[in-house]
Amino acid sequence: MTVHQWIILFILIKTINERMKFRGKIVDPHCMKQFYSIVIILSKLCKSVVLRLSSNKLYLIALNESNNNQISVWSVLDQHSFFKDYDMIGETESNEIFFSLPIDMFASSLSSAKQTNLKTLKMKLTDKHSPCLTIELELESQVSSKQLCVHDIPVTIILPKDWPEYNEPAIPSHNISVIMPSIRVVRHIVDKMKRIGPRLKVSLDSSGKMVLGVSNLSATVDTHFVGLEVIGIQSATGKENKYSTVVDIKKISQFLNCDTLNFAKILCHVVEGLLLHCSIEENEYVLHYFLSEIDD
Amino acid sequence: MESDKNGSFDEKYLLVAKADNVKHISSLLRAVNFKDVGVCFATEHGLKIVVEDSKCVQANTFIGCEIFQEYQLSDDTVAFRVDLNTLIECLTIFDGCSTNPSFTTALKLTYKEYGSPVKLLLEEGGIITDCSLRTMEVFDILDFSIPAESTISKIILRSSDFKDILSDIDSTSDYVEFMFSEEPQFFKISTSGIAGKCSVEIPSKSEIMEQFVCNATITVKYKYKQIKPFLKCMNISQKTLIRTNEEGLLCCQFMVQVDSHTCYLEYFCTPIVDED
Repeated sequence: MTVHQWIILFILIKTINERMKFRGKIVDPHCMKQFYSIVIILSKLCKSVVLRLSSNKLYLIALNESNNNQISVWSVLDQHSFFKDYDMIGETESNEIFFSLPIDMFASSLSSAKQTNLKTLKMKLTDKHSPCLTIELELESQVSSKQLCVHDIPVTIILPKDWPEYNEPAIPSHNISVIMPSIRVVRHIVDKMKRIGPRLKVSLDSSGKMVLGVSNLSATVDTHFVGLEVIGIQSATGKENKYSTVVDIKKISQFLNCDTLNFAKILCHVVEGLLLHCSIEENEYVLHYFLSEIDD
Repeated sequence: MESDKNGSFDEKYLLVAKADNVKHISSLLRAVNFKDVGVCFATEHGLKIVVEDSKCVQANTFIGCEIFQEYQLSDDTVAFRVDLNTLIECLTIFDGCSTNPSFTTALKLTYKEYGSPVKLLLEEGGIITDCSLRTMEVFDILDFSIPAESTISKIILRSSDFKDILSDIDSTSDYVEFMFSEEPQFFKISTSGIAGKCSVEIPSKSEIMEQFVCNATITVKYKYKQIKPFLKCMNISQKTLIRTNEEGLLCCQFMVQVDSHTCYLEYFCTPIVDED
C-alpha cells in the first residue's frame, strides 16, 4: 500500500466516523445489571457480536460461523427503558449504525457493573486511531469523590452493503411452544447427559411433556418433565401431537450454563426436525437463541 | 387372561430391584469404577459388581438385598456385563438438581431376560428418567479368595488414617511394598521413586490399628497404579481389613456403613514377581 492509499483509507474511516455518532448513558442500577447479564449470556455463546443501533432500539446479534452464518442469537433492547440519555446519528436514511466487537472484551469491561457502587455506565463511539466503543464506568468511592473506569474496545464498522446479513431472522412457525421447567434442574440433567452422548433429542408434546433424550452405543437415557405450560401449538391435523428435534448437546449446555438465566422465564419452541428455539421475552428486552437440528 | 398377565407381571423378569435412595448404590459403584466395564451378579443375598483389570486386580462391591426396598429374583444367579461409566452416569443423573436434601432419587431396576437391556427407572421431585443399558455376555472372571486357614497376616485399620498414609506415598514409585513383620510387630509401606526411598511404619500398638495378626514375616510388592484405586474406597468406608496369603495375594476389604446396614467393597491384587 502506498502512502497515498493510506491517506485515502484514513480519510475514508475518518469521514465514516465523523458522520456517525453514538453516546448512551444508563443510570438505573437494575438496568445496568440487566444490560450486563445480557452481554454475559452472549459472551458464553459466541466470540464476536454485532451491535446494531437505531434511534429506538439496540440490537445484539451473533452469527453462527460454522452454520452458513445463520443468526444464532438475536436480542433486542428497548432504548427508552434502558438508557437515560441516548443520542445517535447513523448512516444512510435509515439512521442506523452497525459495528462488530469482541464480546469477551465487552463483557470484561462491564464486569464492574455487578458492583453496587456503580453510578453510571456510559458508552460512546470514539475515534482513537481506529474506531472504538468507549465504556465509561463511574463508581462511587469513599476515598475520592469519583472514580472513573474507562475501557476502549476496538470495533469494526460494518458498511451498509453488508447490513442485510444481520436482518431479523425469519422464524419458521413453531410446531409447539412451552415454558421451560426450572433451568437449574434442566442444566444439571443436560450436563450429565453430555457425558453420555453428543446429541440431545428434545421432544415436546401437547400434554405439556418435555422429553430430553441422549444415547450412545451402550445406553439410551430419557428424562421426562411433565406438566409444563403449553403456550402455543400448531392445530393438530392428525393424531401426532409430539414434535422433536435433535441438537448439539454442547451448544444447549452453553446456553443453560449462563448463570444469569436462573431468574428468567424461558420459552422453548420446537420446529419438527429443524430447530430448537429458546427465547426470553421481557418488556424491556427479548433474547432469542436458535439451535438448528444437527445431521447424523 | 388380562388379569393373569398382570398377576404374573413381576415373574416375567429375571430381576426386579427397587430402592428409595440410589445415592448409596452409586457411591459404592463409583468406588470400584477403575475400569469401564463391570459384571453384575444378582443372588438371593443381593447384588455383586465385579470389575477386573488385566487379570491382576479385581474389585468387588456387595450391595446387600436389604439396601433395596424390593428385591425379586426368579433364578439362582443372574449375571450380565454393563458399561459401568454409563450406569453411574444414569444413577447420578439427578445429582445436584434439588437443593432440598430430603429429596432422594428412587430407583427401579429391571432385567427381563438374558441378552435384554437393563432398564432403570429413576424418579426425583416428579421428574422421571428412564434408561436402557445394553448388556453383554459374561466371560469367566477370576476366582480370587483367601480362605481363613491360608491367611498369613491380617490387619484392620481405620480407613481415614490409612487413606492419609496411602495418598501421601510417592506417586513416582513404580511399586508399593507391604511388609507385615511378626517380631517386632509392625506393618510397613515402602516406595522407591525419583525423590528416593520412603517408608511408613505402623506399629501394631498404633491407635489406628484395630487388629494385628501376623503368623510369619512377609514382604510383597504391588504395582503403584494397581494400589491407587483403593483410595476411592477409603473415602466412603470406615474400616479397612488387609489380608495376604503365602503367595502374597493381597485382599483389602472396606466396610461401608449404609444407614443401618453394612456393605462391603473388596479389592484383590496380585503381587509383582521379583526378578531376583
